[in-house]
Amino acid sequence: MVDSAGALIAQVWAVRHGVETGASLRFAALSEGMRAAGAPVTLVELAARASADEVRHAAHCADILRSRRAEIPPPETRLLFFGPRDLGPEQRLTYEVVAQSCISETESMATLVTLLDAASDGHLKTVLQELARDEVQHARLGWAYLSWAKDRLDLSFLSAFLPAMAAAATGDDLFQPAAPGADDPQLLRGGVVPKGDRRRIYLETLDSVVIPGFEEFRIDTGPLRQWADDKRRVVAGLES
Amino acid sequence: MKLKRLFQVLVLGGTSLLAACGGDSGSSNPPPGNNTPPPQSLLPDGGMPPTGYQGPLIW
Repeated sequence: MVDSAGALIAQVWAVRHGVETGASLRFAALSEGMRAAGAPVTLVELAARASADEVRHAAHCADILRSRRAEIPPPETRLLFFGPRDLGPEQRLTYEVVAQSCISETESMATLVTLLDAASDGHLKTVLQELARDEVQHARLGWAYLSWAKDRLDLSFLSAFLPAMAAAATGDDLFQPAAPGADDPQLLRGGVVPKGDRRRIYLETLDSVVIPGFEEFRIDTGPLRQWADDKRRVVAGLES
Repeated sequence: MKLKRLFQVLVLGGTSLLAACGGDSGSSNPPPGNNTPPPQSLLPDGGMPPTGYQGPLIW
């Protein structure tokens, strides 16, 4: 594998280290928030377990970085929330659970499935399998929470916020032009999905998993569909 | 086909999770009575874009 691919792979695993440590902090806070809201013990414990899982996942990311002789970044120490502060307490909690589990964790599962299919290295495959097993529960947590919350809260407020959640999940980079080498298929061998495929997977998962999921709860997905259409146009422009 | 399976495992698996655990498996905190004001915040304060993180939250 050429050096530029190796550097890109290390960079992605370093970002994942931050994603995992940040998610650990958020899940711990969500667990406490759910407890305070009177959510079922099953949900509270699932969120607490997810927080511990993410610490273990970050350790795997660090191991992979170490094996590649790459620098391990410091863990994320900021507890980041993304919802507007002027929402009511129940709405704010719901916003953060939906953003973290229904969108981010659900989308991450699609990437993990792609990586698992491509993994040839035994250690990497073992790590990916462990992560995928955990992430299934992390994603389910959000959909299970909505099942509980729908009888206690009008979920229609979520509709207008779904595009912001989808955008926050990708960060600023995904729909920007790819850096040189970011579409190299060899990246898959190092546990990284080439950027063009990541964009496609993200939008397909929105269409086939996330949006139908929200529609199960009769949440208007028009704004999110519009966001996805806009991004498809961006992608078409990038690839033309 | 894989995405259809993901929908079944994640979304439908999640929505049926509480039932599979035996109903809502108990509230972690009794709902407040009529005289109890709702909590002011269920979450601690955290940073928000654009003041903070702008990286991804996904793999």
